Amino acid sequence: MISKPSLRRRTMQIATITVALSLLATRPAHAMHIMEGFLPWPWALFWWLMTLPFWIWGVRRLVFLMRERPETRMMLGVAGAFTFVLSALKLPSVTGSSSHPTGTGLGAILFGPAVMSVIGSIALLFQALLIAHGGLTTLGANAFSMAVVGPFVAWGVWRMMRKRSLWLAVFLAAALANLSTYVVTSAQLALAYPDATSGFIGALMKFGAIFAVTQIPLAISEGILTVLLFNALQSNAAAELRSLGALENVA
Amino acid sequence: MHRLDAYAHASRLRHVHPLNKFAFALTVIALCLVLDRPAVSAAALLWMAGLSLLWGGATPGFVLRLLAAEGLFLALGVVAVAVQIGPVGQGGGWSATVTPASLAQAGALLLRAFACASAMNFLALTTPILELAAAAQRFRAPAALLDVTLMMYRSVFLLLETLMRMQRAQESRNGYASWSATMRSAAALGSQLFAASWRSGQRMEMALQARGYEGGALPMLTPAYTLSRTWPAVACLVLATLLGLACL
Repeated sequence: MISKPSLRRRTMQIATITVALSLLATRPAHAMHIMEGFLPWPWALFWWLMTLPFWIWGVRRLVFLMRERPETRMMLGVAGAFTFVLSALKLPSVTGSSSHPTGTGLGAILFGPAVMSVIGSIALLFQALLIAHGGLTTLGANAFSMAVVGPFVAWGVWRMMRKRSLWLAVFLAAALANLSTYVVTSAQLALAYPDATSGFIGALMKFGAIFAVTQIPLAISEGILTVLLFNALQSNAAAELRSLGALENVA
Repeated sequence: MHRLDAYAHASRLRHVHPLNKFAFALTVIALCLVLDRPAVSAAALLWMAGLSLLWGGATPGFVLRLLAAEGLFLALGVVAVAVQIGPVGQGGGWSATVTPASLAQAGALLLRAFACASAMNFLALTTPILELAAAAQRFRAPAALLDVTLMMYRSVFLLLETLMRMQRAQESRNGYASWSATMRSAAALGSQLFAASWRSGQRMEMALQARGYEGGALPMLTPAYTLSRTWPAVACLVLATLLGLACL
């Protein structure tokens, strides 16, 4: 015999799970950014300050590159546009729906993490103002996860693995960059909204679970796509890759 | 994306200085975040959506569509805030519960995020990025950064056009018929796009050098900004309403 309050709670649970699942099913296909106004202001400020040193470093590198090789001025702009447009590629997910790659893994391999931290952040600003996705106050948090942590993870993996196996290095760099972006996003949300009873860990599990369902297959898809893309680049644009230094010390 | 940009260029508020609009939208967002009251958020949502529609000249359907797209993403995060999980009893089992307090928090959060999003949409609907970036020169933003931003803006639309054309060509040849075909097509598309964008960058660089370009900010035409009396008055009225609602 189920008592009345617990029956009510059970009904409530089923209702919320149904709502959550139906939302997951209708999820539009885009990278997950923290929307404008979602973070309380102390956290928004905190992530801006966390990202600032990387921006300063990235801009310094940019200025240096342009002074050294003035012709990179146009190339960097076009490369930035390429990373932005890359997120419009159709990427099939194992779950059936289609989605878009983040492109941060490939960007870090081609241009390095310093330049990516700037270019990725500008791309995020464009996403906020051109497709109303993301935000201005949350730009710091989104840039930290997508333009700083993602590229750094990709760059590190790429540097460690490229001498052993090229395809594995590309795959892991892209997949782990994608995955780490979402882990960081989940942590950022959990820090801002810890669970009332189970605290940060509980909140991390909640936000993580919501994203993990779609993100783990997506990370694998992005990894596979990036391997294919890199192979195609080697045959179509080998000279460009070489001038970027992306083919140095590879297996 | 094209439509949002088109609205920004055609906006009736384009004569207002971009930094003016930027500061206004950011102040509204900051007030919503710092005051964090449902009444303030509701007022900001109505004001900003209203201004985009009635003064900015956007259509109601488009403004609603932007908010609906943002709402879908928000809903996911809000559900996680509304549902609380934790250990129950001595058995060590975990359960998910919804309490009135958590529901209220989630509701207030949803409203606040909608208000901030509509303030951001107001900026996006009335101010082209190009002008915003050019206006940032005043703050001594590094020229290298501005150049890259402006180049990116110009290239994004060209590249997207190329991407769409390539994608349509692939689709018409059953390029996205199966999982493996989609992967192959996407990879071919990405690499061709990279090569195409690289070459267009090189051509642009060559064309500029042929015209004596030696670095530095690219000159661009900006419209003449005028300071009407109505704009500051309305901006002050909006901010006063929000502050007034917070004092109530």
